[in-house]
Amino acid sequence: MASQLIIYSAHVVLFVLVWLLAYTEVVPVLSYLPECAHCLVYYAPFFAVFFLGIYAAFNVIYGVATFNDCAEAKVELLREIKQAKAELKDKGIIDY
Amino acid sequence: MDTPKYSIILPTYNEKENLPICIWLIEKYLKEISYEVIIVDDASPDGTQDVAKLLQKEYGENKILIKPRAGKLGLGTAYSHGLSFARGEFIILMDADLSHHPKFIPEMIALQQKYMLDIVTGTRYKNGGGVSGWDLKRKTISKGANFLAQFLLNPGVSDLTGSFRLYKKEILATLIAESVSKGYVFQMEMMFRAKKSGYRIGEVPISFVDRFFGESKLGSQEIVDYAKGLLYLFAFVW
Repeated sequence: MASQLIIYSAHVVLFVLVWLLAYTEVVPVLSYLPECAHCLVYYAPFFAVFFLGIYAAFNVIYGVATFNDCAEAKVELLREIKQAKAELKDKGIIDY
Repeated sequence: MDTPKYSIILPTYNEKENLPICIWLIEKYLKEISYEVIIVDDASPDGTQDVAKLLQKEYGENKILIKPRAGKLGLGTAYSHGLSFARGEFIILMDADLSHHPKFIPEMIALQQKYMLDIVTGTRYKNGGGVSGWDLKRKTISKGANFLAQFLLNPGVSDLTGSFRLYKKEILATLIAESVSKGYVFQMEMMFRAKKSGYRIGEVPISFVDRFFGESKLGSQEIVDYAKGLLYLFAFVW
C-alpha cells in the first residue's frame, strides 16, 4: 500500500517521462506526426492541466445544477415534528 | 431484559428542542427493531440532560442510556465514549439535530443484512439522496469539496463527510482508534481508512434536512480545516 500522493506522483512522473522522450525526440514521435500536430505534443502538459480544470469545473457545475433539493423531505419532517410535539407534550416530556 | 442488537450513539450539545423529537422519530420507525439509544451529552447548559431523563422514564432505561461527559471534548471521543457502553452488535451514528431522519435506519439495516456489509453509509450525493435548505453558495462549496475529495482520494464512496452511518461494532472501534482528524474530516478519515482496509461498504441515499433550530456552521475556518485534512489524508495515510 502507498498513500494517494505516491500513487498520483507515479502517474505524473510517468506522463512527464513519456512527454520528455517525445519532446526531446529521443523517441521520434514527432516525425510520424504532421507538422500541425507538433504543438499538441509541445504543449501537452499545458493541455493536460487545462482539460483537468475544465473537467473539474464541469463536474462541480453539473453537480450544483442537478442538486436534489428534496423539498418534500422538509415538508414531511415539519409535519412529523408537529405530531411529535403534540404527543410529547401529552406525555409531559416537553412543555411548549 | 433483551440485549439490543443495534446501538444508536447520539452525541448532543444544546439539543433540548431536537432530542425529544429525534427519539420520538427513532421509536416511530424502529418499533420492530431491537435497539438502544446512547445519548452522549457534553454538559449542555440548556438542560438537554433533563429532557433526556424524562425520555428515559418514558421509553425505559433499557432503551435510553444517558452517558454524559464533563464538557465539549470532540466528536471522536464522544463516539468512543458511547461505544464503551454499547451492547449492540452494530452501531449507528447520527446527529440529533433532525438533519438525519431515522426512517433511513431500517434501510441501512436491510442493506447490511442483504450483502453482509461491514459499514453502511448514508449518501446525499447519489441515487435520490439530497439536501434541503442549502443555497447556491452552500451547494457549490459542498460539491467542490466533494469533487476534490473524490478526485484526490478515489474512495469509491460518494459521501465522505456525512455522519449518518451504520458500523459493525469492532470495525468502528478500530477506525476511531486509527483516525486522528477532527470535525468533518474525521468522518472522511474513517471512511477513507475503511476503504483502504478493504471493508465492505454500502450506501443508502438519504435526504438531509439542514437544521432549522440553531445554526449550521460553515465558515472559512471550516473550509481551511477541510482542505488541510484532505491533504493530510492524501499524503500521509497509507
